[in-house]
Amino acid sequence: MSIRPIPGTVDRATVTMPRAVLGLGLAVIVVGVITAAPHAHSVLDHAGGAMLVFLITMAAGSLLQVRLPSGELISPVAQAIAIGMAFGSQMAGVGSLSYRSEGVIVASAAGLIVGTLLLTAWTRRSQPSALVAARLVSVAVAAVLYRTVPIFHGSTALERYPEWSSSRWRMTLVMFAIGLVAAAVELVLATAVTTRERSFKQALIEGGVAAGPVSLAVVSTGIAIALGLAPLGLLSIVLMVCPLVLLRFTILQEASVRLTRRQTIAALSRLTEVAGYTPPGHSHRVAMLSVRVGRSLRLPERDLVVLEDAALLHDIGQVYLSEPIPGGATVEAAPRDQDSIASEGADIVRRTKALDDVAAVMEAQATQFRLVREHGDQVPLASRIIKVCNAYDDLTRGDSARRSEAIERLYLGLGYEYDPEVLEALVGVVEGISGRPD
Amino acid sequence: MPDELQRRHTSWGDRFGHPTRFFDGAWAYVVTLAVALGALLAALLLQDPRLPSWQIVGPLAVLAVLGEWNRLVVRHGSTNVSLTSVMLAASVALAGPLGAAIVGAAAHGLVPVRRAPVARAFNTVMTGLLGLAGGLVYVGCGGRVLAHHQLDELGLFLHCLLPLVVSTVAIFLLNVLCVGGMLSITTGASLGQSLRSMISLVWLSYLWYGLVGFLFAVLWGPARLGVVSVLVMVAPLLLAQSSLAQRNAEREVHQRTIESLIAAVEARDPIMHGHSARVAAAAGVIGDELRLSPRRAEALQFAALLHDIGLVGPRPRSAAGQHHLSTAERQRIRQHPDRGVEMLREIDFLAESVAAIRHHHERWDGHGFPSGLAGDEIPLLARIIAVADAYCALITPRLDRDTMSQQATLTAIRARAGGQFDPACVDALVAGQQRVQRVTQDLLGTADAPIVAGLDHDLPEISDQMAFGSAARA
Repeated sequence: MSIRPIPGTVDRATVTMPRAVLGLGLAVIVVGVITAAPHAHSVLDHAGGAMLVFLITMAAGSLLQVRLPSGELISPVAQAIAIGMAFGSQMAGVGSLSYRSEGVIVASAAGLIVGTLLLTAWTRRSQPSALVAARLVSVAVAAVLYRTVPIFHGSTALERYPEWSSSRWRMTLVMFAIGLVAAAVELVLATAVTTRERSFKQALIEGGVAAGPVSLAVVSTGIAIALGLAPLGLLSIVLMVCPLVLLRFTILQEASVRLTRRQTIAALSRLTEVAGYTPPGHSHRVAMLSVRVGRSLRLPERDLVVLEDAALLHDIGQVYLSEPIPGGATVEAAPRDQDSIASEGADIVRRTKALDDVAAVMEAQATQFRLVREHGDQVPLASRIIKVCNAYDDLTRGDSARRSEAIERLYLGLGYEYDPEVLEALVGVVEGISGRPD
Repeated sequence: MPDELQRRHTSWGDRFGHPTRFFDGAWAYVVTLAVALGALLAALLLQDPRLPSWQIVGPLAVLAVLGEWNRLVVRHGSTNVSLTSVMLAASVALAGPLGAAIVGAAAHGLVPVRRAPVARAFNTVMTGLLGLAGGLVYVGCGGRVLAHHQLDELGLFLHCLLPLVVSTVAIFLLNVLCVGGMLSITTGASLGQSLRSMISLVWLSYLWYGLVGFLFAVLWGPARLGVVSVLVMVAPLLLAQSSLAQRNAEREVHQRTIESLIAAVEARDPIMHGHSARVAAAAGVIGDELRLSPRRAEALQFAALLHDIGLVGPRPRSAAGQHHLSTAERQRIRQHPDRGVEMLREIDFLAESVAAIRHHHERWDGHGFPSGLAGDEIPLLARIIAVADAYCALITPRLDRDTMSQQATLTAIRARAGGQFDPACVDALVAGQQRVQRVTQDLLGTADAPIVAGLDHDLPEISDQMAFGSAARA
């Protein structure tokens, strides 16, 4: 039996470079503990209670982890509280908060680790510890820049806090600058953790576009927590974090609506099968295979989603054919019919007024590769993938016994009909599939 | 319809035609509200003639105008995270009743967007009134205006946060009342229904406005950030706003995806052509008449669009003009509700839609299929679809008999109230007959070839054949 794709879960593949980041995080913790130890006594006397509250709220905030539509896993609430602690300067009832950056590092390490353990226990799934390490390093950067490095003519930003009490906006801008540096550090580390073979620069840009606005919101919230400590005391943590909790809620809702929509597409893609145009299971198999081929060709996450939808719907245009194709296999159809199926299907999808990128991929799914070569036609990689995967499934009908025969047949069209690069990737993928027990 | 209300909840007149006569019901209403606002303002000023400081009110008003501009222009009114409401709450705490009235009125009065004069006047007066009333409630509940008082942590909690939450609830109720009144004057919508649906849609957001307005005020005043507090607060709010807008857009895409895929597949079958879209439109009107909640109305739309999905597929050939079911055809019809449910199984769908699809061929008298449910045992949405289905089957022009008039169709359906159909749903169809006629005729007009021959399983006589066998027809 073939493996069914679960629509909407184009999950991140196994991580490859997390060890270095994890090591960096551990190194930061060790240095933090060693340097913090001599001062522990005085700090705990002075602001021990506040640090404990930060630690507990961070651990609780870790439970509010969320996955962005683009696939990034973030922990906005815990991160914002940690940044709030790094920037904490003055607190109602305590006066100035003079704990050092080492204290911030140790407390946030404890908070984030406890939070991750809780999350693991709660979801019963292991959490990517390298991502937690990346978050911790980012907090350490913010704390050190704010509390330890003398960036203002020999004095640290923290020491400037009381002086600038009448022009608080300057402090706010300084915090923003430091917070953005810390966010950039986290972005680079997190990208290093989650990128597979794909180009690092490309992944960095994508990650920045996808997670940038949320990072900005996290930094802002951290600043709001820190500045709110003066009038509100520790209540500031709980209250200032609320907009971020709302944000997480809306992101979850957005994701669930999107998931339902994609499930709908997956269910409705079977309409052509039920109506007798295509063989059972065809669109699901093509979609699953296309996504795997797309992933091995390092297609970005966003494009994989479009590819999956387009592959699910690729045969919907057959409903406009005057006579069903025998067996529904478009690989046997005349090129003109293939093109008209493609463009009819794209028209249907275009009527949704929002899936134009899916329609564009469907439109070009029948274009022969020689046109790309000879005329330099712009054919999206996703379309070329669907063309190859569709042909492969038409020839095998989901039966791996016909695999070598089908691949042989595809090689006959290599370069003329099919993109050699895609075909090579397909061969790699299907040989991987048959190699594992089903 | 629910979407319309959702978009209109904080203001009125953003996206549809307005009365143009100089003095009509709408203007009279606006003038009444303005008189109320003026009287309250005068009373307040007589008691305490101090004006709020412009250094606070000025920037707050500018921000409120920007928030309103963002809502109308950038988001096209498609969001329910209203920055203006947040600014209004913040100005209640920072500047008191008078300041909040100025900020509120400025937001709608000065927003640089072309609007009908009556809409602008109404919204300006209303938000001014909201700010003033919110401020009075705030002070009445022990709230301290932060511009004049220094508060410690506990004081901020007791004398700012709590009164502000009460005040935003009051603002919300007054808002809903004002907009509901305007809707009932201009569109004749029942005040009670508008109130109920607006309250169920947005009450939660107002607690948020109170809380976020408080955070704004604290950063602005006690934390001494002033205008810079906007920098600190704006990112999470804008992001939540855009994420919600994204969600709404995604919902519409979902519905349109279903519509266009269904339409494409139906196009092959002359009897089914455009059928689902018409049933969805007719069911929508019946649902409105029955005062369905927005959530159930949405579930009804999905169910109506997808109710015959189990029928897609090769149809046994049947000659035009044939009136009796072959055994194969009978079998296919009997199975299609369950087949449809089976196809939709993998979608995390509104559970109510699935139940409606499964039971849309049940009969009120218990002789339907697949489960033979009777009366109230049949899910309401399924009963609605049954009526809409039969209506659409009857009014579709057919080759083998004269087109039935609207009146004849309604008479035929009314004759079956209590037999095949739920009498309440039939009444709702009759009550909304003009709208039903309009929406279905619009869709029939756009379909390419609606003239149909062959057997339509949704015709009432087929339901009788399925229920009582063909002998019953004679």
